[in-house]
Amino acid sequence: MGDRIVIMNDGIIFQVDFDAPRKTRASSLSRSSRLRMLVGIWGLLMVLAPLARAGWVEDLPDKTVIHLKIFQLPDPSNPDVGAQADVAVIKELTRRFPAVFAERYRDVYKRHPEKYGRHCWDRVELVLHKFSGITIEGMGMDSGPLMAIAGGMSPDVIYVNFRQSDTYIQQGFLYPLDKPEDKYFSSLTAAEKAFRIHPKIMPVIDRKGPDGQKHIWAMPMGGIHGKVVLYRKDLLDANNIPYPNNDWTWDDFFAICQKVTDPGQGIYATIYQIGFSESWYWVTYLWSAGGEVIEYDNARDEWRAVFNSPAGVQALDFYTRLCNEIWYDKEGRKRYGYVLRDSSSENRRKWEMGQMAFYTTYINEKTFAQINPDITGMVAVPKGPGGHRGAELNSQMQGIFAGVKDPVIRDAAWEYMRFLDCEDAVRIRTSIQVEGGLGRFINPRYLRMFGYEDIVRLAPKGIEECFNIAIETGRPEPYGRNCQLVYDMLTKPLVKAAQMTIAGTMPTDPIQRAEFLQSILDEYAYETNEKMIGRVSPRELLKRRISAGVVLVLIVIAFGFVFRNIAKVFAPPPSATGVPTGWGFRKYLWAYVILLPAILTIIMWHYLPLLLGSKLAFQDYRIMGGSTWVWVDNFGAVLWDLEWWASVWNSVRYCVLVVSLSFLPPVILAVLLQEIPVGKILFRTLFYLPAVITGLVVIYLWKSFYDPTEFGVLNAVVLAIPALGYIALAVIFFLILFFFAKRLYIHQRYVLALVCLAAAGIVGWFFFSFALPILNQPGAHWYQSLLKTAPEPSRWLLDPKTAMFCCVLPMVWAGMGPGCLIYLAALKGIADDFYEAADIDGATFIDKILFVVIPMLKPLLVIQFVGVFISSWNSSAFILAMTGGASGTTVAGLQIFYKAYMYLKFGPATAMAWILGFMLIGFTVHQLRILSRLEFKTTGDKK
Amino acid sequence: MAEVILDHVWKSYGGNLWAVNDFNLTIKDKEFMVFVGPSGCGKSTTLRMVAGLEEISKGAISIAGRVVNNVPPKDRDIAMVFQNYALYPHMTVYDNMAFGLKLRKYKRAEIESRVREASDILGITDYLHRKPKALSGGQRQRVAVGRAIVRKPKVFLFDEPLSNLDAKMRVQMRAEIIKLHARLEATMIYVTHDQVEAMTMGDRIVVMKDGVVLQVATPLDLYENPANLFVAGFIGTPPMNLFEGVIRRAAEGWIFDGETLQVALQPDMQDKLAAYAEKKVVMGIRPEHVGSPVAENTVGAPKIKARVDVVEPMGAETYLYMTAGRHTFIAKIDPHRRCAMGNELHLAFLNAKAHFFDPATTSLIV
Repeated sequence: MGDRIVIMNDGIIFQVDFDAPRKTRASSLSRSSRLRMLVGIWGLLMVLAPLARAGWVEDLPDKTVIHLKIFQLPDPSNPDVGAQADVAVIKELTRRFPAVFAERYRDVYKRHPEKYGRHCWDRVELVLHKFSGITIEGMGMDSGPLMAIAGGMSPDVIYVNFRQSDTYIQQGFLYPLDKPEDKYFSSLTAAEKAFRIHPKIMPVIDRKGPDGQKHIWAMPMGGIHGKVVLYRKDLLDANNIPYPNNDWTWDDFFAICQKVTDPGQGIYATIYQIGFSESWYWVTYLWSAGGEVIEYDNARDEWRAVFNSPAGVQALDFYTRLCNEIWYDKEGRKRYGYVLRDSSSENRRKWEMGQMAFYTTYINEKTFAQINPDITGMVAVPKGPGGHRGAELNSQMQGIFAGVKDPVIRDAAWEYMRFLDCEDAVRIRTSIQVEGGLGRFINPRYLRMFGYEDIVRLAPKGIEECFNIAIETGRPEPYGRNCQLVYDMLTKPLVKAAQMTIAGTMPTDPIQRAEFLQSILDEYAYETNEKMIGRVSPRELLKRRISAGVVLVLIVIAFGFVFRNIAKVFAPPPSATGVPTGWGFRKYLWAYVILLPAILTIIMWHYLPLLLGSKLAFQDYRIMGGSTWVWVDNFGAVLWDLEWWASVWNSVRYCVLVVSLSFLPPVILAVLLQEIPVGKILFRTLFYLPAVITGLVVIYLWKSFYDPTEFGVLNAVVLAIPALGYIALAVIFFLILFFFAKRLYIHQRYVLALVCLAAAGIVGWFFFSFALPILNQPGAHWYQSLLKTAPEPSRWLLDPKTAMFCCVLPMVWAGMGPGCLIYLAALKGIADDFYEAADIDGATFIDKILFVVIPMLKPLLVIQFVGVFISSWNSSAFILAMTGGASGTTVAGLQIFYKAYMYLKFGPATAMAWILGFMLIGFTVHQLRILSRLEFKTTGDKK
Repeated sequence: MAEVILDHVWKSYGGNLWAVNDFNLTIKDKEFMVFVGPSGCGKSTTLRMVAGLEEISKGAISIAGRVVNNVPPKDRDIAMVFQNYALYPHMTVYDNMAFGLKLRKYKRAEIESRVREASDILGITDYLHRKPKALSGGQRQRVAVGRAIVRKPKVFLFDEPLSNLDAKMRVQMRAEIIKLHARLEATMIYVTHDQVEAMTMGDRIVVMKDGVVLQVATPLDLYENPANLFVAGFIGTPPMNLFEGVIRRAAEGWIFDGETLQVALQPDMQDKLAAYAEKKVVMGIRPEHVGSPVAENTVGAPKIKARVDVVEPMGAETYLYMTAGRHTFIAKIDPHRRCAMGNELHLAFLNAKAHFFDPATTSLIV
């Protein structure tokens, strides 16, 4: 997947994930309306585009300065030796640039002022600027450049990774480096090329472009990265396990994992982070089993998913056993697998604390991981059953943005790229690192090359060998067509196999099991081919187009109806004589003048972008231009996209949970706070406090609560409660709701009574379901287990059964206080007489809530309900941060977001947004009605 | 038997301030008892203690022979009509009336017949399916009363039920409540700050001030024999005339000497007032005992000379606002007697009807 810098010191790793696609972090942007945000950002960027500029040439009295924007520059204030080395390289580059310029470009520039501009080329200076643009939190390096490119604010030198490279090339973001007129790539000598470009990376940078011709598109940066496994020596020693060597196999690995894992102590073999990119871990096994993810079919000139091979089955089988195999620990607790599966970046902490035996990481060609050899060992990834080994190869790459039109800037960009990894630059880096005391971690090859032979012997033993194996047996991260999708697609079979294993439906017989896994892989390989290559049969296409047409007509009708409704509701009311009064522009001139800025702002920032952006829905949109009209095909594709409907279904589940959990509890809490005899202020403050915590903090707080081990706060609580406790809770909640139902029944509200009874059943069952696994333990009668606690910790965010609930809970927790304040204020408005009258009438507490409080709060409740309902469809920030959409929590909003900003499928994303808007329109109309009613009727007549 | 007994009831909202101060009263079965007094006198608090809406700080309240201090309102077999009606705005008139019955799990037919009966009595049958906001104030008050009577409680509690109505409607509803009491034969406790309502409605009246019961008596008794200055001034329209002066023995006998106004004392009062010789007292005399035909025709009634400030002809009688030196007073005279502003008149004082109060204790001397 990504490139990670791992710097280790005395066994401590500082890991910089600078390339993790959509790690779980909140984005405040994704809260607002999906459609508006999507199209809004695009529109905003369009508007801002002319204001921002990339590189430019500046004429000063005594010199000409070439300004160049780079996606990333080292920070001179960073005392880290690595950063200082990079800073030194940049300094050297700017020092040398005038000379290089004089040698290679000055004459040409002077000869062709029409092409290069009339500047003074005698004294030229290069100034580098760090790119600053919009980045979406948690989207890593994938989204920032994309958004910048989309807005025409791209840096001149852009960052490219393997999996996105094809998209960048096909979308025309990259400027080919081998144009004859430029002499960029061709100016490198064979030795220089060999020094910089590992043969295994060559196919990644040298490939067909949109014109069907092969070109060089990017240059690797910082050398090649291989994947290796680190192990904690202390942990293996404690279990009397000999250290693995480079010849170890899956079986050796599995045996160590089994031995070392002790969930009761919080110790696991390793951590695999769940989420869409989980398959990053699996790919290694696929390759080691001798399989491949995708293959390029030369004859048909297309990429094809081939992971459904026998090797794929072996890899999936091994991975599933490693992660999900059911076993019982010393205390008899049921455990799943030997790998801690977490949604957060727990791995660093666990590794530092010595609670994790293995750590999969990249090793950089130039500077090997800085490990403390006393604590940490390094080994190549284990060999698969066929004796194969296939670790991932990766490298950061950089290219020139195709939007750079000024050849001067382009040339400067090339010179920057050319120098950054040349031998001189590497020499500078090496010398600074050696001086900084990190010499022993540098690849001995470079130490020898630059004359630091004496340091070679200091290097931790075996690292060079390990690195060489990793590179030799490594395979580049998939870089073919639409490969930004590849980890998502590969994760699906993993998730399915895991779910079935946990549910106990996975066959145990090896042959059946293999067949079964094969069928899973086949299913997703088919889907991958369809999704990534996008081949649809003509018959299918026709079906899609017709359905899309029908839906489009419906959307147009629905929106037309809404606008008619709005016009009707907000039109000036007729006068007493029945004659329309008109808008009264003359009479209310000043009112309209004051209103004007607001109206213009809304039109400019909401409706205009909405309209402009909506054409994307009918295009195969390309950021760099050349978008083609595909008319209804985007809608057709979305309508028949099962993934989209699955996300809509997730949204429905999310909505039901949000409405039922975040809508009613504040009402009940408000009533309780109103009734509480003492400490009103204290309780109000207590309940309000969570609201002052920023959303992001709430999320991280809860993520730690949700720790899937028994060390998580929530699990600690849950594991402390015996079965009897849950049964009691179930009974209490059931009874409370049952009494509500009963009171409703007495008052002949039969439907509501039934709803309440159903809720009683559901809530009761919810709590009882915690008791079930305790009572169902093998080898004991259920009554013997009444006082026992749960046999296993809950896997909150990992379990599709609880994941959605867990995403909603923090929201409820944080929203309870503010929500309840609104109701408290409204409750204050209810005269005491009503409560007293009810008291005398013989009303119970429940009666008062049902027949006094709720009816009195009804207008407020309706407004709140519509608000909560609509926002539940739009807000996906919590989910993004909580699970990133894993475990069946990808809601529609999140799906749209990913579609647009991760996969650059702006067309389908816009189509999705329209379809979502269409589905919600009924509620919008309802909301408008309520608003209008409130404005014109309710006020002024309170009694 | 729904006798309500308040046995040395005290109420405090914390601290040493007593909102109700040793309230001690027995309300007889089927009696219409009115609590009257200025606002803040504790009359509503007392009623709410009977209802169970307020805790009793000290003492005991019993209804129908049962001490109810710790009985919740719904189990006290009472019904209450609120000043603001407290009708549930989201329920129809019918539902408002039926609500208490539903909560008590009456059969549907029973509820129906009781609501019908109550609405017939109150004349609101036509509005049963309206919401309260579609009713006038008087209609709402009837619904509120209806809600109370459907339950057929032993005790009805009214908390200033007519205050929100206009004057005409108030008089009408007053009469209806009196009729209702006669019809239902239930014990009723009625709180008002309006002494006219108190006088016209109550079998007995409790006059309260600052949490203290000043007098409990029938309306006429209260009128004729006020126990203290406050009751004397509070009951009656226009109120009793009060004069400050000194008891003195003059040549002709004992007199009340108010400097610019001197009245001879009746012989039967002299014994008690002798003790106040040369001391300050307050003399009270109702307007109808000054210059009225009865007074004028009484032989030996002393005459007072005073100037007419204002003449208020009411038709059946005429009120004169008079000044006699530093004293002002009201006289109720024969409407046929001619007089005009600024006239000097000699008015007869029916001194046999005069009351004397001790200004220090405010209580009645004789």
